[in-house]
Amino acid sequence: MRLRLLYARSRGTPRAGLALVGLCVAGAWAGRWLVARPALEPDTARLPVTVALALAVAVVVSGTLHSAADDLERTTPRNWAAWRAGHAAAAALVAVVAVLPVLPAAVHGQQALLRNTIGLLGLALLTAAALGPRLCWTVPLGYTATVYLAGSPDPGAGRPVWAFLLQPAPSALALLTALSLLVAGSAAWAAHARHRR
Amino acid sequence: MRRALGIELRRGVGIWTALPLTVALALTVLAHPREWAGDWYGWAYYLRTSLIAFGPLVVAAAAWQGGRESRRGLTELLSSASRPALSRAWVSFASPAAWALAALVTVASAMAAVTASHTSYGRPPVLLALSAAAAVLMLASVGFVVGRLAPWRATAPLLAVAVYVGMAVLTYAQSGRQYLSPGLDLFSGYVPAPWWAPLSAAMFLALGVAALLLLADGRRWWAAPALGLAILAAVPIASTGQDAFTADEAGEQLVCARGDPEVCLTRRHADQLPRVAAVVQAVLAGLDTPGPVVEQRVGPGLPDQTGTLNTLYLGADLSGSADLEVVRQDAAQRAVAWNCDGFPSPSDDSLSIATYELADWARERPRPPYGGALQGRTPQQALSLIKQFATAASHCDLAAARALLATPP
Repeated sequence: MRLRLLYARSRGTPRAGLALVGLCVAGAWAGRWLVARPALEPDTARLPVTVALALAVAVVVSGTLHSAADDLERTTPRNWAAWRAGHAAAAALVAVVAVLPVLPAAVHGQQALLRNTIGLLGLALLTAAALGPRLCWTVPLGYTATVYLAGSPDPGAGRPVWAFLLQPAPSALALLTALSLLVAGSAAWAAHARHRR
Repeated sequence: MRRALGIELRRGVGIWTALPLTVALALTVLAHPREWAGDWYGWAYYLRTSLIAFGPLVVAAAAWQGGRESRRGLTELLSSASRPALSRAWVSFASPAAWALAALVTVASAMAAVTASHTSYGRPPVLLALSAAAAVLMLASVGFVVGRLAPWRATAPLLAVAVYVGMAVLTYAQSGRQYLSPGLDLFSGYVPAPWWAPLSAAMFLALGVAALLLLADGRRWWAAPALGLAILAAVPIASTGQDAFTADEAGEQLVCARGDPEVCLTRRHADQLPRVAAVVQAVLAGLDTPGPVVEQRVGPGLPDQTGTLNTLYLGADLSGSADLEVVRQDAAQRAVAWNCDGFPSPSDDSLSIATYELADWARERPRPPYGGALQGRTPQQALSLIKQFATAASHCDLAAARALLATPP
């Protein structure tokens, strides 16, 4: 247990936890503010929150993947692949629990926020495996910024897959895409440890 | 200094971000070609619109560069150098700023080449495009300074999210302040007052300079005059808001193609007139629809806009063509246009359904047998029914329209 606590503290989890709370409070306020705008449709008004908050939460949570003493840790006789897989699973769980109460159920509400959070976290894990944890935010940020203007909530032309962030909550294909990204990201991040040892 | 600048441009963070930034911006503009490909104001406006996506990426790249020296533990070493802090900061800032600007210029040039080949009206509003470039420099400057002052790993992405949220708040606030945002969604039927684009560019540049001057050791107060200039430029932009934009009178003039009926588009979309007129006249052939069929226009004092062609779909795409499917739908609605005290639909659901069925027939001209309102009719009888129905609809004569539908063929 002590080792797990030390591991968590070495990844800056207390600071990430505080940041998560702040982000989720700000997200809840932003959701209410947007719905109160008379020019916006109540069902779609929260779309910016489901995208921006998911990105911010994924960035903060994936920030805990970085270790200041990574090479030193690798010299210890531990199954680091299992530790990394556990870390990815715990990060996903914490992110989901954090965003769960932020938005109410709607076409672009709670479900869409949950889906986007796990999808972007999966993308961050994939990036961390490929480029290292320091740059794990780059691909999620670039993808989100591009898709937000280039994509559309309308289904068609593969959008539930490549623009899963913007899809309405009932889109099963968008949910499947996000889950696939999380599974692939977790596996890549765990395998990355085995590969480097 | 020049050598240091050259090394920074070749070895800094900026060069690694150039390709991703260019790809992200290119994907963004390629997703909405109809908004810029056939219209010079559309081109310049979309450069500003694309900053909604491009701006946060520029900020993140600059913040990452700004925090580099601290992350690498070089702050103490560099502070012992003889060169002033501002000079060192300027060289370091040049890398993300120059490469972001290069990405914008590359994509803007490619867009301009496409626009030039499709548009038939006006000249490129260069000052508006320069205001987008100034906004990029400002975003890079702010990102760099924040990255320098808060050199954490999460600063870059969280600042990018904050910039995105800030631009969204300005947009959704729907007041004059939204015109202060670097990323703006503007409609090319309106043109800004001559002072707007230079003032907007000056505001962004002054804000960028003010941010950089915060890094001048011992002379941070130099930022105050620059910030003052930015505020001076911001006040007229925020206070006038949409009033600084007026309908483009020259661009909104109609150019017409003769035929049955006559079809008229604005000068902005005159290059589309031959193919749009052909589509409209094919849909309305034999219906004796009174002309002209005109494009929706903006500005005060314009007549009733029902039964017009939707201007949003008349811009060229990358192949140079308007959205002819939407034009066909608009023309079909014109075939049976209701005018009930200004409302384009009758207060009777069964007549509304019949109107849709008749408009669908005019658009597609399918072969019999037909269902619904046209059941049991030949194409000639369908054509005759639509003509009579359209006459009743234009006078909002519900009883006559019902009687026509009840009459057997």
